[in-house]
Amino acid sequence: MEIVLENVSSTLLHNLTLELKEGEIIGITGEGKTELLRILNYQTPIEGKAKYKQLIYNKKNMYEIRKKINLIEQQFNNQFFLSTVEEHIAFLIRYYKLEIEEPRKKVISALKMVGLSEEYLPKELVTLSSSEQKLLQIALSLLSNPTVLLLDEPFINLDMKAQKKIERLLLKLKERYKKTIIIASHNSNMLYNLTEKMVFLKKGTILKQGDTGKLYQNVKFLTRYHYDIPDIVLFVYKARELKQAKIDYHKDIRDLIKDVYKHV
Amino acid sequence: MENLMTVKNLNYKNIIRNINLDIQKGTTIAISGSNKCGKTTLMKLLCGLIEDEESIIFEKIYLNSMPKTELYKKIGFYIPSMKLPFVFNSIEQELLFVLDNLGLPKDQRKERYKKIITLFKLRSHTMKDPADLYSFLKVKAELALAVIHKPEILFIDNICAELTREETKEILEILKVLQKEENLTIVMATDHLEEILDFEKLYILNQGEILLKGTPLEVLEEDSLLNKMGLTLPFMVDLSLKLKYYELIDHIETDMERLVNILWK
Repeated sequence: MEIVLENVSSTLLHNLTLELKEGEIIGITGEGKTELLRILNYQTPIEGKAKYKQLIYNKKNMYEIRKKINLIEQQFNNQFFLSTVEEHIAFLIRYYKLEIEEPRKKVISALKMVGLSEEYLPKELVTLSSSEQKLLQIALSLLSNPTVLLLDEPFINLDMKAQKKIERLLLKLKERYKKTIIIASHNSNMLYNLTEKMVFLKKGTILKQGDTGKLYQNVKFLTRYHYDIPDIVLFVYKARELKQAKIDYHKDIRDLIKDVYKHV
Repeated sequence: MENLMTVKNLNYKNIIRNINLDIQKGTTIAISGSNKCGKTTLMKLLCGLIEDEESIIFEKIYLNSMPKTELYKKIGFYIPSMKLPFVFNSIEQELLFVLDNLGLPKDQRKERYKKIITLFKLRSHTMKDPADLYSFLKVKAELALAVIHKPEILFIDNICAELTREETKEILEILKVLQKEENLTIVMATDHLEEILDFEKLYILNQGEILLKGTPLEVLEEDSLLNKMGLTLPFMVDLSLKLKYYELIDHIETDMERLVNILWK
């Protein structure tokens, strides 16, 4: 197990019990999703037992945990008004006391990993588009060799083209580099498509967790607790309920169309 | 019908290029486009937050020749990047402050305040500190603040980006009521086209220029162009167009149950 929480509580969430496996894409939705990311990243004090691999969440291990479980915030955090990408990176390395042998090489390889290049180093931060900023945020978080990436609403204010680009990158990080990706979002269409496991939060604790397909196809559960239903699921649900249509749940709209074509 | 706002050959730096718009009183207008297409800048220009000299005519005079105090009695806006901080420590005080400034008689003030908090379902939250609100309540409080003075026209930029679908629906319903009951003109910029399917007009911006315009359904028929620009079609439109391609249906159907009924007669 990558991360294990046993009866963990913070000020906003309580009694969280959770096991997260290495190399999976996990979604979190519901009120308190950002707080759960902050708990996983150990940004907020907790009670109860929490473990990352062999490391117990305690004061001594705090920095090590934060290096390995990296939080990518919703907004690009440039609170120090540094102007270029290069300056920003140099600052982060100093600030987090990252011990990197050949920083320049490492930085360039991190930029390449997300599809940016060396040419971005002298660029002014303010000139980057929101999707470039998101890619840069991910590249920066890779500098400390994390095994877990936490992303808070990564796709807000990104258009579809940019979103798809980031989604492909996340899949690559998972498949090629075995990173665990945890995404907090309210976007049910994206979560249904991209994640393998889901955690549904309600009233300050975990209401349900498990296989994404199973949970997001449980329309009665989603309706009862006011979660957004993925469009493609709702369509199949209505066709089945209203017309007893024999179509299956799909993630890709093209597969749905094929199925509809067969059954009308 | 006479225009409430007319935009003629509007240009700004290299961000907005040659924009023409006719905005009639009481209509709903949507503006969309991929990242960096200029929609937020256009919204700021239209509500006078960025000054333009003489391309925008509002109520027969140049927008920026109108004194600002006069202008912002008639214009309301919700533009996240221009957010004004809340100054008081309850929603009630914030809202009443705006009404006090208008110099309305006391009974009218009370009536207006009541109407707005009822419409926005804020009644049980009026004593809360705006600084402590979670996202949906905050959006509602800010929108309430943008319309409490009963503006002629409301500009909204990306209001639903962080809201769930249920919350989005509630916001859109509030806007519909205001349009119907107060003949409010609404100009909304959004990335999410499913929000504006029942707006009267949709403009798609590309690199600062108007690329497509028409009713939302007319514009959305250009699915391959929109996809190429990086926009997401609303699920129902995407599904309809694909079903149409296979000749399973003959028009775009945006209501899910109706579509199911058409497919499985």
